[in-house]
Amino acid sequence: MVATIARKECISHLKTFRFTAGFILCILLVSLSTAVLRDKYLERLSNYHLSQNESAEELKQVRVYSYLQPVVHKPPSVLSIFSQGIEEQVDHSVRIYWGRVPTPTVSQSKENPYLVVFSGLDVVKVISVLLSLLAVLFTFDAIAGEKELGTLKFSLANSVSRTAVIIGKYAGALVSLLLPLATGFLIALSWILASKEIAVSARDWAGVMLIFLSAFIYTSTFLTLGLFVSTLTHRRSTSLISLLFTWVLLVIVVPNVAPFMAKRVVRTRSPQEVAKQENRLHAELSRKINDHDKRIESLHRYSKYWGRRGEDSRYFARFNPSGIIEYRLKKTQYDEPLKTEYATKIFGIEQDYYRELQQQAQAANRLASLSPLFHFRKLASTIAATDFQSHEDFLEHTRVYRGQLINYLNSKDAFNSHRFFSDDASIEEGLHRRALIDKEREKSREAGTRMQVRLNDDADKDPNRLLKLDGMPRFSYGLAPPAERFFKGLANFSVLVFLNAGLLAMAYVVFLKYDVR
Amino acid sequence: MLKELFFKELHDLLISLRFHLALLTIVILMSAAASYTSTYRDAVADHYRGLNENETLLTSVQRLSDLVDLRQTIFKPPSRLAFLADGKEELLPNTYSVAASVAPVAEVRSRRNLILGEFSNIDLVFIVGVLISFMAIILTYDAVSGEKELGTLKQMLANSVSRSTIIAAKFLSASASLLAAFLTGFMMALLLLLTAGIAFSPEDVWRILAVLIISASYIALFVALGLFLSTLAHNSITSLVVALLIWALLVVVVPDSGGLLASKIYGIPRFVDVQKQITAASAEVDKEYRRIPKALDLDDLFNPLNRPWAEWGNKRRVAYESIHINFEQQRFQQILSSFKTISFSPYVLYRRAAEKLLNIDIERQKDFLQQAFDYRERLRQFIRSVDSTDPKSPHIYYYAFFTSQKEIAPSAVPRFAENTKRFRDSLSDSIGYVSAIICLTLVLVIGGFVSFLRYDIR
Repeated sequence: MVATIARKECISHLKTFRFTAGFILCILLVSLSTAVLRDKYLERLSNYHLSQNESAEELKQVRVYSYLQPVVHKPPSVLSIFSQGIEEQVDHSVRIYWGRVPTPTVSQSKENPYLVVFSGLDVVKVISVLLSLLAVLFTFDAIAGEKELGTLKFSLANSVSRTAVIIGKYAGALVSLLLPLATGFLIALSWILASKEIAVSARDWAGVMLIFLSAFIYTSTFLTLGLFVSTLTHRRSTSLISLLFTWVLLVIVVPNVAPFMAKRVVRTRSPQEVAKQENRLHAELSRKINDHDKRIESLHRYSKYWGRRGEDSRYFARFNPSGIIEYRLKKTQYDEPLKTEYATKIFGIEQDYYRELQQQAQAANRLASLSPLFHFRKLASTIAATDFQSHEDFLEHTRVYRGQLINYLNSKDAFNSHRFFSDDASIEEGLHRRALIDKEREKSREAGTRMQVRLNDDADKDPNRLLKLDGMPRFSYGLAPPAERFFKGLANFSVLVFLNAGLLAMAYVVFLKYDVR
Repeated sequence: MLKELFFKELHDLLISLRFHLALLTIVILMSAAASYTSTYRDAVADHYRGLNENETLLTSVQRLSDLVDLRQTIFKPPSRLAFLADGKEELLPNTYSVAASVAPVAEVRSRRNLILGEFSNIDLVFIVGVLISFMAIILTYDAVSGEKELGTLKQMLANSVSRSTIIAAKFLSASASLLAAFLTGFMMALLLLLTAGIAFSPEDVWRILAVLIISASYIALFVALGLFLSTLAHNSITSLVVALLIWALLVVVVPDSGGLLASKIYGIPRFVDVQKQITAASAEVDKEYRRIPKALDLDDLFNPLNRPWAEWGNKRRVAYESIHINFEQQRFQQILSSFKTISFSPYVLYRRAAEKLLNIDIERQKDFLQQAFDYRERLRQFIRSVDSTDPKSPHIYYYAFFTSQKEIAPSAVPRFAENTKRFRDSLSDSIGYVSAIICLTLVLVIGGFVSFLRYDIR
């Protein structure tokens, strides 16, 4: 009996104008957004491959430890085509350096920073607005409407149980909404499969399926809501008005008001204040370094000019003027561990600030959790690995890697050896070259011409001068499998499931007592 | 007759459940919007902190040559009227670092919280544009088709009431009730703002009034749309579904699709390609100056021998800047073209009109960049004028090395002050959008009228 009612309901929905209009709109918008987001994804993908090659090349050319600052990259997620999240707003490349701990930073779009005036539109957004509206429009008259028509009486007189009626109505509406949902996903998938550059792995398929499942549960939530409200009312116009107001509250008002109010109620410090605090530490660090420099500058007469040029002194060190090696070595031994230490301190300040931001976000989430839309979008972006948390996971990986790199440098005694700043294997050889240059300079002074200092380019090509990085830890980061990501969003998913079950149960109970006259 | 009908309709609306729900939502959200004062205060505090820091930086200037590469920061003040239309101020660059020697560089300094994700700020334009338009549709969807279903329309028309009176009464009563709800909410917000100590200038008052007028027109637009659709359909549910789908499309989806259109239709050169273009242009300049002596006379910087070096550097800079400025213009153009394309959505029209009236839109951003360039020009003129009084200087400009070492008083250095648009100029800028909204409203009102005249009431 349930099947008969469901089939009848489904067919009568399919014949309605609302279905046709909603279906067409949904398909159009999904096509538009996937077409554009796919291209954006492709661009990010090619950027990722390019920059990864670049970084690998760069690493091959490293001659001194001070240059051993690998850049690591986060691969873009294919599922970002479905749910964009913050994918475009954060830096996906991080330079690993002992003097800085990676923290999340907002990246301004290099292409057009003013594009932020437009909010994004992706498959998840289209579905979350349009399909929920359609779901409400499909079910508002399910009970109250039939009562007005008088057909409810007839059905029930015909030995159809109330259970069958309500389950049948729910199933019929669900199937008819499944149609635009599934078509939308199929169109999005065909856009993705149409491009040769994108290889969709089994994991991605699983991710797509999980997003589809979440979308399905989300849509069903609004169906059960519609059924419930419809059983509560006896006139379809009352049912419609209350449902539409609920819809606009849940879909439009709450998701925007929650972060807006959280921002105003839970206050954070200004980023400039935090930067000031950090700058104080930076200043302290450079003061310590300067003081130390002064103490050791007697070691080398040019130290005032050359020693402070940061790490870019390998060329100079190759010529090895007297005392520079000792000077640079002392400087390195003092500076680099200190920089590492201060990086941790500065990271502490940033963590404090990050905690404030997180408290704000928590307040917003608590408020927004009233809305099924919030749960759905959060779930989708978690599965798609485009939410803030998965970016933070990536950064956590980079922090761990930074620790490994520091351990590696320590194991090589990098902060204690001249290999930190000089690629010259033998210091004697350098001294010898230095003597030659002095001679050259003497000659040109006698001739009254300006000497042109030319670097020994052969040394640059000498592969023996490259650092041997066999034992160096390599960074590897892959997005967690969708199942694992889904598990992270399980709380959101369960809320949606509970809402479904609760609303359906309530609709059922209320309908059992419904006066059909 | 119109009067009686109007009051009857108004009374019916005012006691209906939907109106009460609408009023409640509007008043609550307007009060929420007024809470922007706390973030506004923060933004103002940040702004002044920044200004002070810059002032300290400027007072450290001793010699003219110090000024050449001094990277000042100029600030776009936060808008006091952001509760009317927010203009995504928080996400857009609000500072530029400016030095006489280089092109201004934009930077965003705000309290944005990335973890919060993307959301629309609750400003007056959002409340009116998204929510009140929704309520207008709910209030009017059954105005005509519903009465037809009930059969009361026949009776009324049999009673020597003209059709135009009926539709006019319906239009006016729905508009009036929504306007009343809107104004109640607005007064509430205003009260909260005034008690919070926000003071408005006379210019601000004009801007607020102008925004109120277009808001009223926008509300009337959706009332007219609802009525129009109600007269097209014979079943009130069909007219509601059509109206809601149109609303969802025009108000929720289309405004967000601007970004997609921008990258799909109005593509601009990629950043890397522009970078390549700049490298090529620099190489061109380098070729021209290949033959100049390789060495710079570092012992005597004012040596005329150094002149070609400075010329070379300046030419490189000009080459870079022309490409850079061009790219920046293309970026602005991309945004503006996308906005134009989605302007068929009344919500976009309305928001653009309000933002233009409040001088808080993307054009202000463009204007602000221009002002940053203008300020740099003033700095340059100042440097030239002081430098020209130094006989020792080679008068090679915008290089710290080649600039006079003359001592200057920091107070003599020109300061930046944003030249904000006057209300009259904002009004003339926004006139296109404002008239578009009003015209659209009129078209829909007339459409509703005509279609009701031909409506089959049986």
